[in-house]
Amino acid sequence: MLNKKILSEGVKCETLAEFQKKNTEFLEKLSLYKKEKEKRVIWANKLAALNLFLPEEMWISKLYPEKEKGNLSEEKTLSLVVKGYVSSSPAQEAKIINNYIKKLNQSPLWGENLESTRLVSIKEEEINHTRVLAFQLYSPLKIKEEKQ
Amino acid sequence: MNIKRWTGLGLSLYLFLGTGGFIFLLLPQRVTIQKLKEERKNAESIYSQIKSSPRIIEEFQKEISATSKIIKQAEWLSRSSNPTGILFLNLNQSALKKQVKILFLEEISKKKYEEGKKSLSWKLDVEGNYYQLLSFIDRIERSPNYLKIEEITISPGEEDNLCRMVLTLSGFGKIG
Repeated sequence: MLNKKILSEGVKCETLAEFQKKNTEFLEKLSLYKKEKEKRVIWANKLAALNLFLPEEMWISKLYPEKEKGNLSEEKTLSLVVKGYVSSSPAQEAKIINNYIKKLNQSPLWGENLESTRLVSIKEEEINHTRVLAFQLYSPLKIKEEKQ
Repeated sequence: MNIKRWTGLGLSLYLFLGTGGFIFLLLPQRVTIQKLKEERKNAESIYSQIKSSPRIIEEFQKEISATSKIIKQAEWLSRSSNPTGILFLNLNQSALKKQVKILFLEEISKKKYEEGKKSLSWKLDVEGNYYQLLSFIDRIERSPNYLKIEEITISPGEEDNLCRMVLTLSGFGKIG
């Protein structure tokens, strides 16, 4: 009777030890997955905000995350890059771009997980014989890339 | 003279045997005892867990099955021998629901990430009006089947009110 009881407790202990091992393995996988998921940029809100404030003279051509080096530290920052064009009179272009950046920075829809957006480059180009100004905006993501 | 010699020899032999016994007998024994102690501690902790919470095995089973479900959904593409086919099936359902047209889908690479996760990537070209495309992207991002949109390129569509987006997508291979 006692032997039987000891045996059954032994089996339970073995099962539990096995489960604990399996659980640790799964939790490690889950933490890897969660870490990767947290780093993901959620685009739907960003696209909605970009369109909401988009002036008539402007269009967006490309969106992607990119690693950039911080100015003061060696830490790499992941930034959301927005590339686009503006087609207006040279006197108006700077105003249009800056107004757009201002409105984006004030929007909670755009600002979620992002630090303040800034202009990093402009370049004069020609599309279908029309002069346009290509621009590039950078918005650092609040999740920092680990040092490599 | 002889006594001194024999005493010296005896002492050396005693030292030699003592050191040998310590290295080859006592040290391994100490390691084994330590290991057994740890095993006993583990067994005792497991036994006390069983005693203090009789439903612990069922609770563990539940937790494992919930975690494994999340991992399965994260690895949904790598569980098939035809990941692009499975992805197309999934994207096509969303495209039909959101009235978006899939123009092009192509597997681009199988790269290895640093933490042992393999990743699969695709280029997807879709057309629709801006809001249809936006809600198509929203559906992809909200799906429990993990997909990451790496990059979006926007260009005008065939008709005036249409827009084309080329999305670079990536998904997990096997994690860990």
